[in-house]
Amino acid sequence: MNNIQIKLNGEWREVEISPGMRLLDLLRDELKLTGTKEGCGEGECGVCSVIMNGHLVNACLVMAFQAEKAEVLTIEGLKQSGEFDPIQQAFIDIGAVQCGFCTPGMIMAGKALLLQNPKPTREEIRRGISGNLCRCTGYEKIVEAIENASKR
Amino acid sequence: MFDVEQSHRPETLKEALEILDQREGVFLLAGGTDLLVKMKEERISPKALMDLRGIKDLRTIHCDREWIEIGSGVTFRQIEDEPLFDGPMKALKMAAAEVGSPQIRNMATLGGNLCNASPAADFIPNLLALDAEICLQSLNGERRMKAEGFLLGKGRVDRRSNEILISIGFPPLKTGRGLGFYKLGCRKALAIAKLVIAVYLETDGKENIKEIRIASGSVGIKTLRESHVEEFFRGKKVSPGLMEDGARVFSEEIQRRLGTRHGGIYKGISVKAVFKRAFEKALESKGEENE
Amino acid sequence: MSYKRIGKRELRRDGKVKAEGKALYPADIYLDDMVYGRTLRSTIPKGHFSLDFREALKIPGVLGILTAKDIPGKNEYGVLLKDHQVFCEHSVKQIGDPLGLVVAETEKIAKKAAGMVKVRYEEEEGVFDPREAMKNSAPAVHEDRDNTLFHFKLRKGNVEEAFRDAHVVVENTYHSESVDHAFLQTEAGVAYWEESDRLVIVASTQYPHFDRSEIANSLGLDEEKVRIINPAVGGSFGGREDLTLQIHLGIAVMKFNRPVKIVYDRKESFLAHCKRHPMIMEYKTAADRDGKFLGMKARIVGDTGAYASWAVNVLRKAGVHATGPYEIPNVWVDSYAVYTNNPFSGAMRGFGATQPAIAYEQQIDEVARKLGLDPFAIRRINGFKPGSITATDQLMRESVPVEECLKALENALKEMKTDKELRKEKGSEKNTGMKKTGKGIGLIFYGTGYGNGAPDVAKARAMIDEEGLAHLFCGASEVGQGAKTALTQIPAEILGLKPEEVGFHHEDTLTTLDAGTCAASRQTYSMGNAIKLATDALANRLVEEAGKILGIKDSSCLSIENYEIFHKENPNQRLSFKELAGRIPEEERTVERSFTAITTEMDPETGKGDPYWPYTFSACGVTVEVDTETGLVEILEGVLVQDAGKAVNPELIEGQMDGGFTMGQGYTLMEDLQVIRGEIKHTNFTRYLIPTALDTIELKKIIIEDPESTGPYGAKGVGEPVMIPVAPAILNAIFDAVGIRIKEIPVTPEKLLSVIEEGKHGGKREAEI
Repeated sequence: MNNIQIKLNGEWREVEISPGMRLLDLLRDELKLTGTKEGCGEGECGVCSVIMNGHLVNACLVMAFQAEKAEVLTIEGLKQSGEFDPIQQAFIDIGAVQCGFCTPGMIMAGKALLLQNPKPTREEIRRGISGNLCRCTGYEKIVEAIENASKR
Repeated sequence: MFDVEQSHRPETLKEALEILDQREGVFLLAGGTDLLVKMKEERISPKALMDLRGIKDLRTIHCDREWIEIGSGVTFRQIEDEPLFDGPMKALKMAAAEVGSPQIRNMATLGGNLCNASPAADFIPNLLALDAEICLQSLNGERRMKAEGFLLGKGRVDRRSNEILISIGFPPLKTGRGLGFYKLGCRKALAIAKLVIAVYLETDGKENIKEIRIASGSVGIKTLRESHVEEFFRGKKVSPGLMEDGARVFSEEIQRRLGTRHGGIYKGISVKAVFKRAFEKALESKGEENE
Repeated sequence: MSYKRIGKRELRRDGKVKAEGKALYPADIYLDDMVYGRTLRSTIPKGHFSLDFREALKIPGVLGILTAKDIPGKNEYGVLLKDHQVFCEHSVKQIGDPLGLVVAETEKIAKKAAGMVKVRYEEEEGVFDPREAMKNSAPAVHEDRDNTLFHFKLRKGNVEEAFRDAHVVVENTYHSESVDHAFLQTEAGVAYWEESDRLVIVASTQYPHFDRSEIANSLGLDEEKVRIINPAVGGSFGGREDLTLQIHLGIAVMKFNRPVKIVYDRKESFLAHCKRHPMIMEYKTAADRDGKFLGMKARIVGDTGAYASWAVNVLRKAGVHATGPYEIPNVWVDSYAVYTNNPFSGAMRGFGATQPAIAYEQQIDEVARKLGLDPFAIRRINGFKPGSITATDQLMRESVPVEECLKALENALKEMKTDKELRKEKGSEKNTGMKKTGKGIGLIFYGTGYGNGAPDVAKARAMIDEEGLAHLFCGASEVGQGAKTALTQIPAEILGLKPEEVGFHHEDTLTTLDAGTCAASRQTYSMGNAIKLATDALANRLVEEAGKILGIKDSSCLSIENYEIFHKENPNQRLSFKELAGRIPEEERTVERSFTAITTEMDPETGKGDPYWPYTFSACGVTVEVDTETGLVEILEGVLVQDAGKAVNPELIEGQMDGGFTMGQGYTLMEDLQVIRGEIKHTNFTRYLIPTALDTIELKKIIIEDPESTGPYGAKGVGEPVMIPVAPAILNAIFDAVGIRIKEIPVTPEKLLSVIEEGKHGGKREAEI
């Protein structure tokens, strides 16, 4: 095991990792930040999506040691001073949540998209979440929610 | 959680090459989008990993009038966003944009993709159509070769264990040259290519084909140049009739090669459309103004 | 009738916690001193096995390896027939059968040790085609019984005469293959001892109370000693009705006396839970020259794989729904459930009513085509109306909005863009001649409930606590559909509160009542009714008591609103819930009620009876584009019309419609498990494809409200029907586009292209698969 510095949800932290740990394992098993989920372990479903150095990535495909000195944003880091991020609020208001398992990853995908492209078209939104699978919602209300958030 | 015992994060190429030279069994980790999947499926079990993403030199794109050099650590996201590839080379942007998903494009690198040498790799046909060259480095020096020759078979490339692939290069497209690309997948994202074709085209003022390069993915043990089909086209004048005939030649070639294996029947038929569409895109891009 | 809460787009109760990433699914639970389990599973479909775990046991950190001999109670379970074994004793019947459980200090060690267990197999000849399995010569899947485990018969009138008198007869065989639920959350569970010797199992399920009885049976414990906690569930669609890791967890806790966690990866998830029943459906439909159906004969063979699970109910539902929502005077249906050594089939959205729809909706379109009738006309001629009699002689007495659905669909389709407009919008390839568009529709029905007289009971308890706060207790499972929200709108309406002000307790067998299963689209209807009965009775009780205290004889002048009971004319005469609660004992402010669904057993020879109630209808229309050079099919536009009786929460229903349409799209065009000789070839999301956000369309949704008088506020369940008309609409649209009738789904590009090619080279114009 060794220690690395990582800026997690805005705060610099020192965490203990082992060489074989994935970023996903670091977040869930070590730091107990269980908002980020595991659905396939192969980058095919997107439920493990987090934002690393400003880019959306699958935490199941990043080794923990690769996150040294990196800025990582997870679902837990979205709420600012008790206020929901507009995307989170939009998901709640528009009924974009059903079973909720894809929700954290979807919200992070939406967040990453809006950081790069603050006023996306619906097609661009669909592209932005094309790496996130959902089995419950058919994506429609999710697209609506992200669009709605972009207008807030 | 994997069974890895050692991890390395060199910040310079020299450091990386030294590690490779001194140690055995170190796997190179670039984007991780292929490597970690293989590890998850227990097809490989590396005891040591070396992360190449800290080497800044590998993550740049250089361009001068005669040559474009893409660092092996450049991500598909970078290619997608690269203004250099607007215009005649927009096939590269299109192809990059169709790799996996946004998450995968943010991480996966051109070098990693090439070294993974999947026969279904959807970006690589573009490199072969551009007759790209790759550059490998080790502590002993440099080796250059054509990308086509670098690919040896499914998952196999001509890289020695102490070498790192550092760049991929090709000449920029000049007037009268075009590049087209078409991928056939059964879904619009996160789709494995059932068939992918890239076409490079060079015509004279009268639409006679001076040079053509056709590269295919998912119809062989590796990404291939379709020399038999290229032969058919060279010297002829572009016309709808020519395209149809050429497509038929291609179809017969695929049927001969695959028979009924590996989806051969389907690919033998659908290759005609995929090829024609890639060809048309090449014609379109040929008409575009160069930067 | 206007309501304050019913019919409103109330926000999901669990929306916030899920949007924050704070909803707890079982894999999110970490306990001190926890150990990890990893299942050993069979890699052959049939044969004997023996285990050698001497090497595995040597690995430091391994606590032990549990097998059949470690099961304290009965080595059996199953939703109907107890034909599953917790761990196989000597022989396996399908790939993926559980052989044992490795328990170790960490997941990594458990996985490593599992890899070191040596399994010796003596493979035997299995049977993989259900029609083969039905023959006497076939090897028996279960030794003590026939491979054909169920045969449903429906006999009405005289079909042979009908065929003789018919003007047109259409005969076809249809195939629906094995499909997976592909819920995003893989199976996971945690178990531990609680003080007072109670074993707690935290795992996602659709029916906590039933699970408890099965788990207790296998652990040799009394039911009160087993507590099931059902936390957030990441989707189920029928795939969490059979036990998977729950009993394994219990055995491990009892053996090692430490908390145990098991999490399946995606591959194991594909192997462990049931699949949709593959069905082979032979249909013969006869009509007169005006398009009126005269008779129908169907033979349905369902492959239930190695275990029965819900096969009986599924194939019965298939048989009852085989006619489609149409009046047919002469009907002969045989529906069989057959064991094979394929991965087992069980409940999946539609529960046997989904597969026949691809048959009956194409049969009707074929008849229409032969008679020169349009698809709407023929459905109007034959569709159910209030007063219609079904093939089982059941009277469709009310809430039969077939005409409303058809009309809504027809109007919506008129507004849909023309082919030319769509192509222009798409900026299609230049060779548009190669891409053909077509439109198709589907009309279906779905009978809610377990059916066939099986007790279908839901119980609920409503109460006001000493602080004057309202609470509802029931075992209803929230699997994502929004039950938690919709169901609380009912007490909110009655007690004049906001839905989020009603405490909803449903996740814990310790505190809740048996709700029956979250399945068969019955939650809104059955549980909703139980909740309404309980809350209505509670409201009456409160009003009565308040009346006594306030000295008001006629309690009909009292209103309940916002935590108060007050006189309508003279609001100064009021009493708060809290004050009232202080004055009456708990039993007086607690009411428990149950609701039993109306269902009768069908005659075993003729199928006559009233198996389900209520029936829900839906209709779908799509425009597809077929790329005739590649075989790819794209959906350009779609409309879904859903009969809901009364939309308790339209937002939730729309969510179900979007999701159901997308699942139907995947079912028809993409989802392919590739089961070959008992082996699922596609056990990851790379190969088992479900639609992504770029594949789905903006669906036009229309909700029809034709109240069902026995439903709470007229409501009916919609969770399953939303999916069913989609495949028929797509298949009919493909026919419209390229003149090819696809009788086997999924419609892969390979299948479609080879038939299109055949057609080009002088094959039949109506080449068929």
